[in-house]
This record gives sequence, structure tokens and C-alpha cells, in this order.
Amino acid sequence: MSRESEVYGRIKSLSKMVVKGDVDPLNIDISTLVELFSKIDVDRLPIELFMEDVDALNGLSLVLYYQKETIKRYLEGLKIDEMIVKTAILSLDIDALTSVIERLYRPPVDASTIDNEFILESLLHFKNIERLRFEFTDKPVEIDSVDIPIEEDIRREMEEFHGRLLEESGGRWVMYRDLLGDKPIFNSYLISLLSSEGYLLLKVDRMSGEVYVKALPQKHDFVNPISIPIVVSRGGDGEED
Amino acid sequence: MERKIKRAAYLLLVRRHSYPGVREWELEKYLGRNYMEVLEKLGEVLSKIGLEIKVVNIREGDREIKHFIVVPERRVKEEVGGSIFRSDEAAVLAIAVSLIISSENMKVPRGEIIELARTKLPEYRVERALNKFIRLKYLVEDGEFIKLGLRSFLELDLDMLLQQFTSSLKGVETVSHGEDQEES
Repeated sequence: MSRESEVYGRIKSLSKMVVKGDVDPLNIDISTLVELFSKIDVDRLPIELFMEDVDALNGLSLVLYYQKETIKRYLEGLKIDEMIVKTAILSLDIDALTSVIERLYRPPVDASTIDNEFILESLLHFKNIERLRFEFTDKPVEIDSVDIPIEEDIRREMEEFHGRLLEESGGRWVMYRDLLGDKPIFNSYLISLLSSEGYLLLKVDRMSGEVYVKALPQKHDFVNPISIPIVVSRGGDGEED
Repeated sequence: MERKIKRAAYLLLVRRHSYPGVREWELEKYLGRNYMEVLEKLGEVLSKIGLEIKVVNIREGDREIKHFIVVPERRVKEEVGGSIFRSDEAAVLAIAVSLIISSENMKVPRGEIIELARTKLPEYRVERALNKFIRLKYLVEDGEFIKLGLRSFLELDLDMLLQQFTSSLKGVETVSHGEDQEES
């Protein structure tokens, strides 16, 4: 092994150890490495060592980077001694450790909403589901994507569907599969949205496995925040959605 | 300016991504280059109801990204108290986060966390809690190592952890009792 190759190998292995956390970057004397590196005459370097030269330079910059980060953390007070932490942990009981986290925990304040844009994005996602092979009627279909124009106003569609269902069912439970009609994907999507918003009730007959839907004249106070998954067999990757 | 403050409030308070809050580039996009000025004004409004804007620097690859979230003021949070974690799980998270922060390169072998936590809890509960926090993105697995996940950076006051551990155990207890007395 040539001297150059030995230097490169040493730098690369050191940088790997630093990245893995096996070596404290501040224990490495970077000036020695730079000196060794700078002594190599690149003009006379055999071509097969060029890549090693580049890798070693990259390794050197990584060591420098980790040194900088470690110093930064020390300066910012973000570095505490591992032994102090371990001793403190061993001395604290479960309640004290729990209270540490309770003190640290400051939950972000945010509001999760479902707006028209979200609904349209969901529809776009739904539309692009590929390799759907079976409908709820168990009739095999071959479609690459579900053809639903997303430009139309989904809210209007939801209102129309709800009004129609309310009128036709007279407030009685109706079978889910009967509602799918000639647009099973689109209609199941509308049912899902309407039930999420509290305009429909869903129930499952555990004996027959049949799903029933009931339209409510008014929006129900309780809005189910959890989507109801309806299993559809999908080909290809074997997943279910 | 008023319109921009409203826009900033929407960006910060209404969740639009898998993570809460907003990143610097979005603020620049929707509020312009002087977004800090807008945030300062919004901060004044939020402080009236006990909230504040927190900036967290998140490292993604070789870049450092500024992440802005709204959190309750520390004092308000302490008055109300509580967390979403179960007691034993919170203890495991405390151990993991403390070890990671005190480690080189901010990552610790999973075995090391388990070994230390095992002195407090049965191993199966430690494993279960660790897996849960990894699933919830408070911790991240990196091969055999465990690192802090995005949610730890966003939801935990890591500076405060450092303050607690730089004190001795007695110091931690004194702080705790001192505040209780002050509140009563």
C-alpha cells in the first residue's frame, strides 16, 4: 500500500468513526491530518488514487463539520456531560422522571380542519388510486384510475346526494350497496364525507356484514372525527385500502 | 399589515402539513421578506391569550431549517400542567431524550437506553414505550442508534431539560418544591 493510500485510508476511517459517534470529534487533531494531506503531491498522484483523494477530502470536511457542531453545542449550552445525566437518571424515580417530561412538554397549538381544498385533494388522491380490481358488487372491473372530474363542486354534489337520499329513504335505514348506483366510487366517497360531517349515520349488521346508511335531516351534533375504512381488495401489492 | 398578520395566524395555527406550524420558506412566500416583523406583531396578539411563537432549528441533511410553531407560554403550561404521556412511558422518553442530548452526534445506541431504563422499569415496557415514541415520531431509529425525532424538537423544551440536568438531583427537587410553594 502506498503512503498516500495509507493517509487516505486513515482519514476516511476516522471520519466514519466520527459520523457513527464512536469518536469525539474534538479528540481529533485536525491540523495533523491537514498537514499529512497537504504533503501529498496531487500533480504526481496516480490516477487510481484520485477518487480516494476526493473521498479523504470529504472525510476531512466531515470531521471539521462535526467539530464545529460540537463546539456550537457546547457554546449554546446544549452539551451536558453524559455522566451527570446518567447519574441524575439513576437517582430519579419514575415520578420524578415523568415530571421532567411534563415540565418540558409544550404542545403546539394548531387546528385541524377539513375544508373544500382538503376534500378536493382527497378526491384527487382517490381518483388516482390504480389497479382497483373489484367493486362492492364483487364484479371484477378493470380500471386504471377512477374517472371523477375534480373540477365540479363537491359540496354541491354532497348536498344533492344528501337531499336525494333523505327524500327517497324517508329517514329509514337503507343498504349501503344500494346507494352506490352506477357511480360506486364517487358515491361511496360522498357517503364517507357526509358521514364524517354528521349528515349520515352508518351501522353494520355484524351477522350479515351488511352496511346500512340513514340520512339525517339536520347535521348531527356529534361529528365522527374518524374516517370509516371500507375494505376494497386491491391487486398488485396486496395492500388493502 | 393587518392582512399579513391574519395570514400569518392562519399559517401558524391551522395545520396544513403532517407537522404543526410552518417553515421559513412558507413565511417568505406568503408574508414576504419582512415576515419576522409580521410575526412580532402576531406575537403581541397571541401573548394576550397566553400563547407565543417558538422558533426551532431543524437539521435536514446538511441544511438547517427554521420551523415556527405556536405554543402555550411556559408559565401558563406549568400552571395547567400535564402531558399526553403515560407515567412510565414519559419516564422512558425522559431517559432517551436526556441520553441523546448528552451524547456525541445526538444519537445513542438503543441498547444503552434500554439498559439504563431497565433500572426503573421491566424491559418489555421499556421496549414498548420506545417503539411507541418511534411510531409517534418523538424518536427516530438510525440503524442501531436512536435520535430525536421532529416532534421532540417541536414539542419538548429541550433547553429546560438541560437546565434541569445541569443542576444536581437535589437541585432539580429544589426547583420543583420552590415553584410549588410559589404557586400555593
